[in-house]
Amino acid sequence: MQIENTERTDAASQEAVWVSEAQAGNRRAFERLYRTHCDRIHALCWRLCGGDSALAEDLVQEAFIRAWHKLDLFRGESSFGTWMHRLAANVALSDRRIRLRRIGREQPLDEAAERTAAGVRDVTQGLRSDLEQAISALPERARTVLVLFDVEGYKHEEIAELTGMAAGSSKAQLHRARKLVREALEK
Amino acid sequence: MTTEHRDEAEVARAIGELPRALPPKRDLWPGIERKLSARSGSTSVHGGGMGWRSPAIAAAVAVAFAAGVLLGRQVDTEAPGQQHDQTSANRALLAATHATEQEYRAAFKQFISVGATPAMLGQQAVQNIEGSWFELQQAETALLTALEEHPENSYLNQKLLDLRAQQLEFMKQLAMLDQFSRRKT
Repeated sequence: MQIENTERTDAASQEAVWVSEAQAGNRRAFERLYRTHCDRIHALCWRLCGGDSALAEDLVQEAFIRAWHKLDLFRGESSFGTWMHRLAANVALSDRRIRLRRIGREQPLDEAAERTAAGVRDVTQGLRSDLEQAISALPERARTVLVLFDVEGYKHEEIAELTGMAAGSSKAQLHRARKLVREALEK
Repeated sequence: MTTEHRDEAEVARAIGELPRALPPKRDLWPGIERKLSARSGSTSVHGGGMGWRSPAIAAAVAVAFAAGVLLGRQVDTEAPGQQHDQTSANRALLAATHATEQEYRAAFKQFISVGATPAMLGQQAVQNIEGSWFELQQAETALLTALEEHPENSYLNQKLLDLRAQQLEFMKQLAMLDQFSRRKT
């Protein structure tokens, strides 16, 4: 435990150095930050956009580009990972708002199963795969709340702030999402 | 498995156990680096005392104070279309693109955030503005990336001019909105 804590502190210190160097314009330091957090950010974007691998990749890139431009605003009040995660969620939700406005309605994700199989190397079997497919097929708002609450650990108030919906709506959407997932798993 | 997941809490627990990190299928860093290099002003944002340092930029929605002045000079950028000689038209187009880029960067440095007056705008309005701005940024990224490979392509340069006009118009609208909000508060 002692060793684990020490390693965690070392990692945090190292990350603080990279952040500081990146803030000074060091692209290599920023790349290290990217390498450290890329997989988590990608998982978030991939799930939020319903398992669309190509879109998820675009969102990850845009999130890190925005992060680079906003690095001066990072004051270290939270960890870089938390800050980056929130920023990526904003990017993904902004993009989805645009798509929703353009499409005018929620679209069923017919290719969800295919995308799931193609997009996730380590989620290919059994329950995980079924769950990922069920989540991908959820309506947009329900999926957003479920991913942010159940997978990422956000609170309803935080989800409300991110999405613009009321906290009560977030709770209702979560209940709906879980119900839909359960029904999908029962089929 | 079906019976195991009938209960909502069970579903939540199972979802909570999904991996929180999933690697992308390809390395995305080269694309990020290319776009950082292509996007205007990217390297000078850090450590240079630029306008981006304003804390209000957090909403990622910007207003250029100088937008109106810049828009007044936009007519100059249309000159290449009136040229008869194709070569000189291309040269003029490149010059216009260069000049517009300078103007755009100058405007970009003076951004402040609409987030300074969120009470007047409302969250949905800010989100819509942010979404629209993001869309323009994505177009910018795509165009600048293409221009990096074909810097003298007149079609791409013309498209960049069009995009810059849209961005400046967007900023002008935001500046007016911001002034209106400030007057009301």
